[in-house]
Amino acid sequence: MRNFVLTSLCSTIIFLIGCSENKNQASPSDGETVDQNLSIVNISSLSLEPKEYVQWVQDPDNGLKREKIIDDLIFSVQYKPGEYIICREQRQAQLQAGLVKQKLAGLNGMQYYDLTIKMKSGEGELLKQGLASVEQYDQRVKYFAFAMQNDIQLVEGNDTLPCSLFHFERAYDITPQATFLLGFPVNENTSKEDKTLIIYDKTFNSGLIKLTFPINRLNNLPRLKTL
Amino acid sequence: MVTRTNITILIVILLSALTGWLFYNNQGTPQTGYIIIQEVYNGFEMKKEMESKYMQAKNTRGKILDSLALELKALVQQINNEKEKNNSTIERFNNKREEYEQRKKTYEEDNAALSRQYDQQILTQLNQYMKDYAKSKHFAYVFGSDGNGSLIYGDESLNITKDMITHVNKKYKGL
Repeated sequence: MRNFVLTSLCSTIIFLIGCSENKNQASPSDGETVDQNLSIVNISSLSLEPKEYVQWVQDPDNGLKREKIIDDLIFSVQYKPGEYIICREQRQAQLQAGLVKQKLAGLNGMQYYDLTIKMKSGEGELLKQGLASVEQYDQRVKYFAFAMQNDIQLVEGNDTLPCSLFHFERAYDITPQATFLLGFPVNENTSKEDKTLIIYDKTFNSGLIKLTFPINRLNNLPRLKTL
Repeated sequence: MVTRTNITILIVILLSALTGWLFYNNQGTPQTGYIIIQEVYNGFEMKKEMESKYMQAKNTRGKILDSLALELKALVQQINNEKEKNNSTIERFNNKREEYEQRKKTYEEDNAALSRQYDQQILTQLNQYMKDYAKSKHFAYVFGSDGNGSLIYGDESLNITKDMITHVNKKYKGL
């Protein structure tokens, strides 16, 4: 009987502590991103098959995908390690070590990101969002295809890197989003600094959009299992 | 034995009551807080950055106008120094003055439009981050005090201005 009473008492105390801690605890909501201060487990010893590797990189909890919601739009940036790009290109269950090594050599000297702008509603064509005239639509297409490159930068420490590779994937009405493939030069001097991608959104008037990738996340990648 | 059973029942009742009270305290009462709007706005990093960007654009335009004004002064000086009336110099002066007036008007309009555009961008992001804060902390209401009487009184313990500034700046940085 005494044990029962003690167990009940302990359980209740634990429950009370849990409740009081949860009261002000932040939970993920719109615009929430994974906190960089969360303890990071060293996963460099983890070895993943190509499919698993792609899933791991795309998982926002692993810190290589950052997202920000502003009004009706979702700005999302995916950091793409070389192995991830190769897995996506090859689309095979298993990859030869030699092929991966050869492809990685070709990707050296640049760092790659995918920027996606999509509508929160999940409907309609992004380019038509808040459109005032047909002329404005044409201007947007031209801007997305060419001039937008000048409004994207990557900040590493005190260095600001220009977007040197840029490609706009137009989706028309198929998906309510626009995807941009971005490439920046690798800066050896600042490879230990957090990376902040800055987009100056003039089209939808959201202003400066910043998305930060903590360097401890970018350096903590699993290995790709090869044959 | 009867006493022990009674004590156990009493403890269980007390614990249940305590648990119920705590549950009500955590879930039942809507959490509220208030912010001092001006402090949050002024403490928002994006506002500082956009202000600096705006000042850069304004100063660049100002320098162009100053340069034109200087040229105008030089032409006035030249006209005053000329012993005979020179139509060519006067015509140059008139053209320059017209250009100055035109540019001044355009720049003033551009500056106002740019200021409105930046304000809109700042407020869009600030509102989004503040909503995120309220949702993540389970606030039912967050009141804004702007010193104009919309919020007459707020207990200092409910003032979440500092926490809000930290949050909006973290979100703006994209962390």
